[in-house]
Amino acid sequence: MSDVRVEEGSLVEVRGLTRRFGSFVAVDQVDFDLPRGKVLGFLGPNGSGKSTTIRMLAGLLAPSAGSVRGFGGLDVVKDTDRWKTHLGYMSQKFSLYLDLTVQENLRFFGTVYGVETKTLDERIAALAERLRFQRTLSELTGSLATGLKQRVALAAALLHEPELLFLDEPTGGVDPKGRRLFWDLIYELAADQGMTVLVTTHYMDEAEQCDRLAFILNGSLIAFGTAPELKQALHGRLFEVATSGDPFLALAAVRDDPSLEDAYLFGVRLRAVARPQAIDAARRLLQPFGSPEPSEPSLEDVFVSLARLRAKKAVPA
Amino acid sequence: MKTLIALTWKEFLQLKRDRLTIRMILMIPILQTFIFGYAINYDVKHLKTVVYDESRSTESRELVAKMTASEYFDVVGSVGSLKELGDTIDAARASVGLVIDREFGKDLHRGAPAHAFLIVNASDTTTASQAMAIGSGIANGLSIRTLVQRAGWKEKELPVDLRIRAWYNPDLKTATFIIPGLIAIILTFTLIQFTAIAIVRERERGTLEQLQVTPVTRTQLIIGKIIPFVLIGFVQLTITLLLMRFLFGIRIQGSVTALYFVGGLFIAAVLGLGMFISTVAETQMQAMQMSTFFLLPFVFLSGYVFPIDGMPPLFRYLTFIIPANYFIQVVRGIVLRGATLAALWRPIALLTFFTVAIIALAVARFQKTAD
Repeated sequence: MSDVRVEEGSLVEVRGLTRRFGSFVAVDQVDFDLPRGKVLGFLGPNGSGKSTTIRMLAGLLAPSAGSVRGFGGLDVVKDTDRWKTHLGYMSQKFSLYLDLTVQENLRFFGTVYGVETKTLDERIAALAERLRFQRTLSELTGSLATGLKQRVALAAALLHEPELLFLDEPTGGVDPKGRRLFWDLIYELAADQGMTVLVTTHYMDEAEQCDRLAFILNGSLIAFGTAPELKQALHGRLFEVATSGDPFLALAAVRDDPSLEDAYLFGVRLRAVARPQAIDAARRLLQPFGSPEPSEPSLEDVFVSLARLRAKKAVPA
Repeated sequence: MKTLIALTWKEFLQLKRDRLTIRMILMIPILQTFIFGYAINYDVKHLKTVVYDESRSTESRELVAKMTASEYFDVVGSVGSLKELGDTIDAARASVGLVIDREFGKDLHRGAPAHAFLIVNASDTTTASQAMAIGSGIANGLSIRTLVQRAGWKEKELPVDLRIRAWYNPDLKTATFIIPGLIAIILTFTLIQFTAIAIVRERERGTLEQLQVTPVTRTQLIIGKIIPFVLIGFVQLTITLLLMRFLFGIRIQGSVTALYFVGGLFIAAVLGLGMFISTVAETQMQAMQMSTFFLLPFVFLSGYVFPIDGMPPLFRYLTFIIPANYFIQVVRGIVLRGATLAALWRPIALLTFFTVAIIALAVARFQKTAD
C-alpha cells in the first residue's frame, strides 16, 4: 500500500509527508502525486488527517518530516510565499469579510494576490457572470444566502487564476441544485484551464465523479487511484445475501471464516468480500443464509472494506 | 506596498461599517475627559459641619466665622449636646463636628489655652486630611494673631516668613493634574481592546486563515492591522488635547511635536499589548476580559491618580514595569512644565525599551500561534 504513485506531468509531488502534534501522529508518511488538470477527491472520516494534509500542502502548517514540491521546483517550506501565489483555497468555514460588500471582498483578495487593478475588475465581472452573482456585487457579504456566499468564496479563490485549488468540504450546507452548479464549474475549470483541484467531501456521489481518489485513514494514505481502479479490487468478489433469518446471527457465523476478507451488514443485507483465491469457498459458506448474488461495488463498499481490512491488520488476532 | 494599502483600506472599510466602534472611539475620550476632569477633585470644599458651641461668646462666634469664611466648612446646624453632635455625624448629615469649650472666650482673654475640638469623619481619608489641615491652619492663624497682639508686634513682622509659590498649577486645580495623565488611560482603555478584538475576530471567523493562504507575509499582516489603530490613537490623543486646552484651559507649555512623538511610542506599546492578548485569547469575550485585566494596573500603578511616592516598596517596584507610568511622567513634563525631550530622557528611554520589548514579544508569539 505504501508504494510511491508517480504520474507523468504531475503538478505537486508529496513524499513522506508527516505531521506530529506532540506524540500524536496526525499524518503518517503520505506519498502521492497531484496530476495536472485533474480533480482529486480526498476522502476519509473526520479526524483522519485530511485537513492536516491540506493545511500542509497550502503552506499553513509546517510538516514534521517529508517534502512537498511542485510548480516547477518550488518547495512548500523554503519558498512558502511564492508557493502560495499558485494556490487558491476555499475552506469549509465561510471566510470572507461579512461586513464588506462582495465587490470589496473580491477586490481585496485579488489585490492581496497581486492581480493588477484593471485585470482584476475584468476577472471579477467574468466570474460574477459565470457564477451568477452579478446582482449581489454591491451587497454586504453577510446578507447573502449560503449557496451564494459559497460561490463568492469560490470566486475569491479563483481571481489570481491559481494552478491548484483546494476545496475543503465546499458543498456543506448547499442545496442539491447549488451543488450541481458548483461541480459543473469545477470540472469546467479543470478541463478549460488545466487547473488541478484537490477537494475533500463527505458526499459519495461527488467523490464518484472525481478523476482521482485518495482515501486517508488514521493519518495514512490507504488507497489512491481512479474510481474504477479502486472498485476493480473488489470486482467479482463482493456478494450480497438477502438473509432469510436474523442477519446478525448470519454475520456472526461467517465473519471469521478464512475464505472471507470482510463481512458487514448493509441494512438487513449481509455483504461479504471473498478472498481472491477462495471465491467458491465463500459462495458455499454463504449459501445456507440465502442466495449469494455478485454485487457491483460502490465506492462506499470499497472504503468500508479497506477501512475494516486496515483495522483487522492493526489488531493482530 | 499595494498589499499593505489593501490591508489598511480593508480595516477602514470595516471600521466605517462598525458604527458602534466609531462612536466608542470618539466618545470615550470626550466622556472620560468630562467625567475625570470635572468629577475628580481632591480640593474638597464646603464640608458639612455641625457646631456645638458651649461658649456662646464673641470669640467662639469669630472662630466659626473664620472657618466658614475659608469656604472649606459649611455650617449646617448647631446642636446642644455632644451626643447630638455624634448622632449627626453618625447619620452622615455632617462630616465635621466643631466643639467649642465653655471657657473658650474667657481663656482666650486670660491668656490660658482656649480649647476647641474638631471631630472629623476620617473614613474618607482625603476629606479628613483636608479638613484637619485647614482646621489647624485656622487655629494657628488665630493663635499667632493673639500672640502678636499680646507682644505688641505688628502682624507683618512674623519671625519666619515662608512664602509659597505653586508652580505649574498655581490654582491647585485637580484637573490640571488629572487630564494630562488621562491621555494614557484613554489610549490604554480603547486601543488594547480594539486591537485584541480585531485580531481575535478574524481568527474566530476564519478570515485570518484565509489571509494566511495568500502570499501576504506575517509582517504585512501585522503592520496592516496596526496602521489603522495608530491613526485612531492619534485621533483620540488630539481630541483629548483639544478638550484639555479649550475646556479646562490647560496650555501645553512644551513642544506639541514632542508630545505626538512620545504619544506614538505609547500607542505602539498599547497596540503591542493588544496583539499579545490576541495570541492568547480564543474568543472576543476572553480578549475583552484580558484587556480589563491589563487596564487596572495601568490605572492604579501608573501614578495617574494615586501618587507613586505614597506606595509601599513592593508596589513602587511594580510601577517600574507599567509603561503608562513613564508616558504620564513625560506628558506631565511636556504639558505642565514645558520640559524638553532631553530633560525627560530617562522616562522616554524606559518607555522606548518597554515598547520595543512588548512588540517583539507580541510578534514572536503571533508568528508561533499562526503555525
